[in-house]
Amino acid sequence: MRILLWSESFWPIIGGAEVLLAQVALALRERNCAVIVVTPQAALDLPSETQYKGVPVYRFPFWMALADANIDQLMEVRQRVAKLKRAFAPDVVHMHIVGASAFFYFQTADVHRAPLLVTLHGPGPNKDLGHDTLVGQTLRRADWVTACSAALLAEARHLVPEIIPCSSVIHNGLDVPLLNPEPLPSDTPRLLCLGRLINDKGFDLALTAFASLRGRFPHARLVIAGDGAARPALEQQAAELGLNGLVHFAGWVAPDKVPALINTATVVVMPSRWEEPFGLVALEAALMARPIVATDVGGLPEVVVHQQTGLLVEKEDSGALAEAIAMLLEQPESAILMGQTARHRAQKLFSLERCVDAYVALYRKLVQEAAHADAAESPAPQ
Amino acid sequence: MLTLQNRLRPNEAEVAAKVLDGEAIIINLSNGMYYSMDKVGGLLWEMIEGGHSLQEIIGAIVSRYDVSDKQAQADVERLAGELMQENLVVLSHLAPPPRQNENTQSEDRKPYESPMLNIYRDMGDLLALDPPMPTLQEIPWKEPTEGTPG
Repeated sequence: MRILLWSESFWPIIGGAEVLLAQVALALRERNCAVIVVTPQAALDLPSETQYKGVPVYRFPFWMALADANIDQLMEVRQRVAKLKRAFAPDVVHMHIVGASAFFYFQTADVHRAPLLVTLHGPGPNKDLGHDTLVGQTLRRADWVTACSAALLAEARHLVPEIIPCSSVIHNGLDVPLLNPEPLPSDTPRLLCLGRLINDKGFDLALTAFASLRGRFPHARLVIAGDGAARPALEQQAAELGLNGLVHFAGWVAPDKVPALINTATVVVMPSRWEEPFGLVALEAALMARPIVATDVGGLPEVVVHQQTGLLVEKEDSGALAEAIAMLLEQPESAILMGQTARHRAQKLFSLERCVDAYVALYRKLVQEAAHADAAESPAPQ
Repeated sequence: MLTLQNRLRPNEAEVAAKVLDGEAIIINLSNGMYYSMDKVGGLLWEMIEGGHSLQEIIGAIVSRYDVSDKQAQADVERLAGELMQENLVVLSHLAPPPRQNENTQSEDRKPYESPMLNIYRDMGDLLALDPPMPTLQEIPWKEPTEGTPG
């Protein structure tokens, strides 16, 4: 099969969806699918044609053409996308992360007709998904919609009820890392927060919680890995809380280095205050047999089972966060058991193989339905 | 109230538009709103640009597409109203274009789909959401496979 992966964001940009999509692209190629990626040419010097580990990636100046409202540039970009679609002739267009670039999907939809599968990785910027919105039209015109969690699908179905009969959940999946899990460090407990340093992730709550635990766990350390706009404020907060030397800001970590980083943690903390669509870090932690303390938001309860693979607390409650962390540090056997349970569950429910199997099955179904529809539209033989 | 003798023209002071392969892309530059119309809508926009009356547009549509006069008229009146409401077109008082040959129905008329004005009111929000990108130097772990066959 020939699959065109269309994504508003792709490597080297990093987030849960981007990490997943890169792995899905490689896994599809291993299954003998021809795969290309179409994604915006971001405002930096990334090549317009390149490869990600052998998968062709085509970057177009979608955002610039739209933001500039330059009709000639829009037409030029449209022509280039049309030429690529004609040449590649995909069996399925699989759109991840619906955004402004979807405009160009519609402008070239008839150039080469192929079923459209849309995968939702997060909520859009607003709740209005009416017929006069690009995101709303994208969902309504999709032949099938999947979401990476039941929570996200429920939200999408609430906002666009038309998708109820043609939508489903396909949870994100990851390969089991080659690295084996290390024992949880207990003498010098290490807490790990990993992700983009933005307000939504709630790492400020982790700092507050950690500060309140300093007396009970004087040897504990907190590592905050990732980067983003909130980093200066978090560093200042850490200093104001007297945590210098106890908190380490590790900066960006390459995706292939994440398992080793998680291996150094006793507990992985996800204090998100936004509706995490899935929470890929929770899955990465589970695969390394780490117990997780997370907020009960969005798709996180689907990845973290309270009191079995970790502990869930209410969002914005640093006190509850601290108590949950303390419980795991004070009961290392429970922490170890939760970590092991998390790993077993993740291997069973959230493998990359299962995730890609589900997408491929859906591709086949959509291709088959499109063939039937074409046959029905064709004039009967004389 | 529009009549079939009315002619419209693009609101050129505020609108940029182009038709390519039968699809019209229209931008209201005053508010950054995006629109598109395909197939019959693209033809309608081209004829508006050409200064034709609604009656002439209906005739052109019926001659090329497998549709009744009544349906074509209803669609053209609806779409013209939507275009005016969105301030994309205004009434034209310019001289009409030279009269062309009367439309004759092609024997091979194309299948008809009612034209739609697709509106993308969330484009501004979506563009605001797309993050300002770091420079490559700010991605310290950039993998070495960039640009090389894997």
